[in-house]
Amino acid sequence: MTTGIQGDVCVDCQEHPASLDIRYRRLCATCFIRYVNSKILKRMESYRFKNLAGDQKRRLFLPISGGVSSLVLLQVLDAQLRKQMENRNRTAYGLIIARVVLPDIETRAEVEEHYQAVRSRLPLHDFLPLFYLHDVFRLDEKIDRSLTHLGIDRHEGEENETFLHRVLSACTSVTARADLISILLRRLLVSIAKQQSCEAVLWGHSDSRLAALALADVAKGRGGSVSSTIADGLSVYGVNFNYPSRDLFKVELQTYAQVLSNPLVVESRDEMTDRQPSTIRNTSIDDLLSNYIIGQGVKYPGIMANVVRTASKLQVKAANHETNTCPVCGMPAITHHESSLESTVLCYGCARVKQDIKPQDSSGYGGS
Amino acid sequence: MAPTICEICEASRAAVIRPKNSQKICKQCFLSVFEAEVHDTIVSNKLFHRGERVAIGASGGKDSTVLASVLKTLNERYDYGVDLVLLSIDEGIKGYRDDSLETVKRNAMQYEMPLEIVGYDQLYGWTMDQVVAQVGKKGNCTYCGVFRRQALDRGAAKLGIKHVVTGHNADDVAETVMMNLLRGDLPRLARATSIMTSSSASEIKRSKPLKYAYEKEIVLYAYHKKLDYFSTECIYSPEAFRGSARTLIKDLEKIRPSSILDIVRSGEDMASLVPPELASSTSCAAEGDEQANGCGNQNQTSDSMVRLEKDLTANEAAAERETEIRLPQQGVQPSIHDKKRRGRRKVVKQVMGQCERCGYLSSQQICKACSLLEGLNKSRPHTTIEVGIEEEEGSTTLMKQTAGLVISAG
Repeated sequence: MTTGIQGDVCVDCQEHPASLDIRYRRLCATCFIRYVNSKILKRMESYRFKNLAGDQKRRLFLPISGGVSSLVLLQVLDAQLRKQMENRNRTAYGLIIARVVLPDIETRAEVEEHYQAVRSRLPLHDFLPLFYLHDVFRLDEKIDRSLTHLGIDRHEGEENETFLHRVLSACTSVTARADLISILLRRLLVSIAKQQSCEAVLWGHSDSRLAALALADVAKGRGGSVSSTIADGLSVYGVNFNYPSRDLFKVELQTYAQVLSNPLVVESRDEMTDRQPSTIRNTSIDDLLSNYIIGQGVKYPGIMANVVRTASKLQVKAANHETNTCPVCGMPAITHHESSLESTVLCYGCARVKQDIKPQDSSGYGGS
Repeated sequence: MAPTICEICEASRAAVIRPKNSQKICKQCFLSVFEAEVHDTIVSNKLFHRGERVAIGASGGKDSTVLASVLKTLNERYDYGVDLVLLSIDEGIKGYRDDSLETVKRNAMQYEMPLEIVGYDQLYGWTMDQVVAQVGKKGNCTYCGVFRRQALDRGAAKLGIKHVVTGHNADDVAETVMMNLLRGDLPRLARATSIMTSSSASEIKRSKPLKYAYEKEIVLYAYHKKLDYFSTECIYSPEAFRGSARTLIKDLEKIRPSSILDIVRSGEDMASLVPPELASSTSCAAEGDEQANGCGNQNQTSDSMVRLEKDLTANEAAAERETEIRLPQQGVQPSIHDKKRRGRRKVVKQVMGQCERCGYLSSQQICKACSLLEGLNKSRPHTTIEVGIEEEEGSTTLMKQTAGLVISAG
């Protein structure tokens, strides 16, 4: 977003000098903040007071990743809830916040520090203790059996962290590893939401992120589940998925964080630097498509937004007795009878991940 | 270190790393596996039936040359009982098409297949050289794509053939899937991965036997079989646009070689998820602009993305204004939205008919080729009597073609 020429005026309020270029419209900082707030809160309409029955107390789960998108979402919703508390002395819903430490990417110490900083600034919400990715084996009761479909068997008495390390080490490609991590993370977050009796998971995904997810699904052979991946409403996991930031681009969220006087985003990781790997072979499909969306999104933002709209129009195959559900990722598995890959119950995408998994039968682990 | 042994026969030295799955195999096994996979595609999709006459769209390039060679081999080996004919389109591009047609003529002799050549000047009165001289390089691929598509059908009809096979490979199909997703074109997304497309209004169906074959493997097959093919790209196709779907697909292929087939599979799955009212035009492929190899893919990508971006921006601005106007009637908004969606869906449906001028299949009163032709003819100068004579010849050709179509239809 470029800083404008002196003299031109914000097109919304016609008063303050326009300092931002938002989708070919010149806005001042105040109107831009209002623009972002309205886009997000419009998507939260189904959680208004008037949809509440009597003393009903809704609980919504909001996982944060430390990135811009989830923190901006948290900050916008926090402002809404604080306003409700001032006006009515109660809120339409309660937020349950959680953070997961991902393996090999971040350390617990730095995550804890940032998490506590956010927590101390937002006393209104319920912050759960930090989670690790391997907690999925503790909270998701079906996960062990699911992984056997990928050819990964858990050893007797094997610890969660050790098992996770072995599972991820079995992946022979960066893409399969990234795919597996995202599946495990999603299942962990859903398990936490259910455990906390939350009726929905609020994802901070921007339009750019959803477009990258949709294209990555297509590139990984998961085209049949694209509409399930990005749809608002009841998910295949039995809990609602909502994407309140789906109408905003990533760069708009970043601008919001810069323009705000008191952003939650502090010293965020250099996401741009991390996204330029030296060798394309060491990149995962998800990262390649994230870079593609960022690169093309600058020139053709409307086209990238169009990807999400198009994918949203595809029908979601309802999980009933006609459609099989993949035991690993939970998405509907469309069967093509000719394909030899369909001898298993896995969807095509997970069958492809399985091809990139070579389990190690190290007896050293079992002996501990 | 011992030389790598073929993973299939375990006897010969491995000479090929299969692009599709990184399998290390020998030359003979590669040829066998490639042919077996094409055969499996043909049989499982029931592309041919005994006694059928099939026209191979032949450009002289690697895809159509490999297609012709493989089909001849499989037809003899498995006794499909199919009568194969080569059908070529001469766009009239000096230094490019005339050389590639020489290749097709040699192929016709090598494979002992009849060859039919249909020219743009013969059908439309214009060669691509003349079109480019008129409209410039930018956008000329639109004319060529529309003309070629119709010319193939006309050539097949002229021969009394109702089945045309093209050399579209897995890379082409994957690129089409990605492009249609980026363009938001659900009807085309619904049919982009169909291996056999046909129309209720036309007798000529199309199929892609190489749909699951990788472009790299096609090149390898041609190399190991020492096939004779022409490899120059179209001279009127501008520089590739960075960031096009083709570039994206090549990057994905580097990361995971199976990505191309994964995208094709995703396209098939998404096709089954397209809402029925949008998918009702699945069988109508006549107006689709399937991209042919090497002829303007990149240019069309570049143009269409710029144009599409402007359209979407304008749409969004209009939607914003609309939302503001509707603000007082917030409660009524959802139903209004629903009505609009219904309206949009109706617009998408296509009703096939016949062009008023040439009798060819079209969803409009006048087909696209005739519309483009009209535009070209309006700008044509009448400085000499000779030019006038050319024009008469052109229109006479059109009338002859129309008469031919009428006869074949009756």
